[in-house]
Amino acid sequence: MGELFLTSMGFSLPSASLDTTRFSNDGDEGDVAAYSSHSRRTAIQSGYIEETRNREPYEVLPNLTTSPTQLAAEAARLALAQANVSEGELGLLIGSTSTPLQTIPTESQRVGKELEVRIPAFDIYGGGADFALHLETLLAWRRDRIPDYTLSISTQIPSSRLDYSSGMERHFFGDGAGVALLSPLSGEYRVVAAKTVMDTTRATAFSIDLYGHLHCSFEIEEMVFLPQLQKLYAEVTKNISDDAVFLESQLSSSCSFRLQESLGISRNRWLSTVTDHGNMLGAGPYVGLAMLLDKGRENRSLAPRQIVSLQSGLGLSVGVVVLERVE
Amino acid sequence: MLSILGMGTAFPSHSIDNPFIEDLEIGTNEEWILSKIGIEKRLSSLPIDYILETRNADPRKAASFAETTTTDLGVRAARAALEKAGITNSQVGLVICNTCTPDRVAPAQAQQIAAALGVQCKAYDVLTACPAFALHMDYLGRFEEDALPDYVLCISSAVVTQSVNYNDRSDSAIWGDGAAAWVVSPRQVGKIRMLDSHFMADPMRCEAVVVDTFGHFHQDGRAVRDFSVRQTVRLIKRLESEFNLDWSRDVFIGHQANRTMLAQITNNRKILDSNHWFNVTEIGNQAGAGAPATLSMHWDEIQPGQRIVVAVVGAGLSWGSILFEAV
Repeated sequence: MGELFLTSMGFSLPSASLDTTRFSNDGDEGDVAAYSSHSRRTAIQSGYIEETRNREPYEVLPNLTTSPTQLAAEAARLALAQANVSEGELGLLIGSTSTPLQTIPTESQRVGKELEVRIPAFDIYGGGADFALHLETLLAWRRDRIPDYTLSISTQIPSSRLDYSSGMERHFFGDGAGVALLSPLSGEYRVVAAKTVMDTTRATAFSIDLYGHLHCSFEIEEMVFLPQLQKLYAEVTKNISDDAVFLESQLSSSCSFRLQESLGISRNRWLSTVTDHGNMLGAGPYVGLAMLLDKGRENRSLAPRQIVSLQSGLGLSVGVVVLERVE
Repeated sequence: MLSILGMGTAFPSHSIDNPFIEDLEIGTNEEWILSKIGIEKRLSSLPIDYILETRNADPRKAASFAETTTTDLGVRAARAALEKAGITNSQVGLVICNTCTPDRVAPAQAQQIAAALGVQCKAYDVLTACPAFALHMDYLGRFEEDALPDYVLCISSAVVTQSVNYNDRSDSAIWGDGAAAWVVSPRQVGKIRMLDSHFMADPMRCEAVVVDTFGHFHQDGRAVRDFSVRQTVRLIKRLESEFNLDWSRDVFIGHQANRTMLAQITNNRKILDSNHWFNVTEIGNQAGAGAPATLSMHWDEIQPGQRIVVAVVGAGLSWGSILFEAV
């Protein structure tokens, strides 16, 4: 297995916020407390959700303020600028989205058009743990087949696929895009480990209809995500130091807390982005990590020496990524 | 070195012939279709009465009337490939899939097929539309051989006719539905082994071929046709110069877009009709399934020592080639 570095990251969120209280019904209180995020972003323009509750997702298109591609392109430009790498130095785009506005071209190809590049571009799409999946893939490739710079992209607008008249999903999912610039040459963090597992037999327990809504059975958190993440964590434990910071971006707050306790991680080393930003599907781990790295860049003492990213979601896939700061 | 151990196909049963398209009265006739694209009939998942009555004006309704799905075709093709390879479900270590017509946008199409097959392993989509055969082989060729499982199941499945606007005279005459699957092994020697692979994209031109998630397929036909012929010829020329191909023995399979385009290519490279394998005349353009389905349909004709050139192009815009040698 060759070396792989996280050179830089970028993220982009739509400007409009979704507030849980706007869509709560009587009797929701218990579930909202257990599963909800306080707020998250949406690509849908103001007033549309209140007016329609998004009962027909195909009608939302003219009411979007941005697209998954625009969000991803913005995130990509930030990642490139931060690393001082030009579009022309890129050798590969790997994309992922669960909310495409077009099924072809692929998301990576649409982002490539925005970046004005002429390079291999295709999507590797497994679901919630695609950040881990992309890293795991590159780590398994022969060194001579990995370009100097690869962009790994995840961009999601699940708010456009939610039914705002009922269901806990409407209190939980938000929009965003994240991009990681990866290189076998150098970077801020070395990828120490990246592993994914998928439970395809139960994959439809968390789904998005082609023309319809997102459906999520929250039981899968307990039945699949918790045990699988515990198992994956055990496999990479030998790589994890006592001061590692844990980043979790896709579980409900109650489940994230249970995972933290079960892994024996202290509260001050556990970061969850769901409360403030919602579950951004596969983009969540990118956005959470990009935010964390931004803080570390502003204040070096806040840059964790080691980061463990715990990922879960559509697929049903879970992933663990271990990153180590390059001194 | 990667080998293909077995291949399989699946097609729907409804046949759309040229007189039917002529009867749609959309400004085309059998003579024009045969002279311009050379397709005699297409296989569709949509009943022809449905097409006649609705012209598939609203693709969101098509699935309710279709006899089969992307998942079902993929499962049938996969079962045939596994049987041909002598492999059981439990031996499959990875499933990768390509489609431009997913049954759901999430979970990944590979996961939907794996679940229906009863295969319990990692499954995800590797996406680019028409050149998927080249992408999948090139993708797997990038891995360290010990990083791949013993058996990888690759699938390309699409029901594009469910996205076709049957008031459009060009698109109506081109598309068919189908699936192909093939079993790849990095360790076990199969009937054919891969000598070379290549995949490339030009995202700057990605809007030339589009399938809107909520709408119809549409393309810039003339631009795509010119690109397809030129790029396929380039792909073949590179392989001719690097591998000393012998067109009296070796075989060419192109993207199954249309017969006239393929004839331009074979005339340019002086490839004998007997050594040009295609299925587009009887099935239509099956997107990413066309080239691997053609190879599968000729599986028993492959002769030891024969080389098989696959050169495929399509949405993205993307293109790629594979050179196989029969063992």
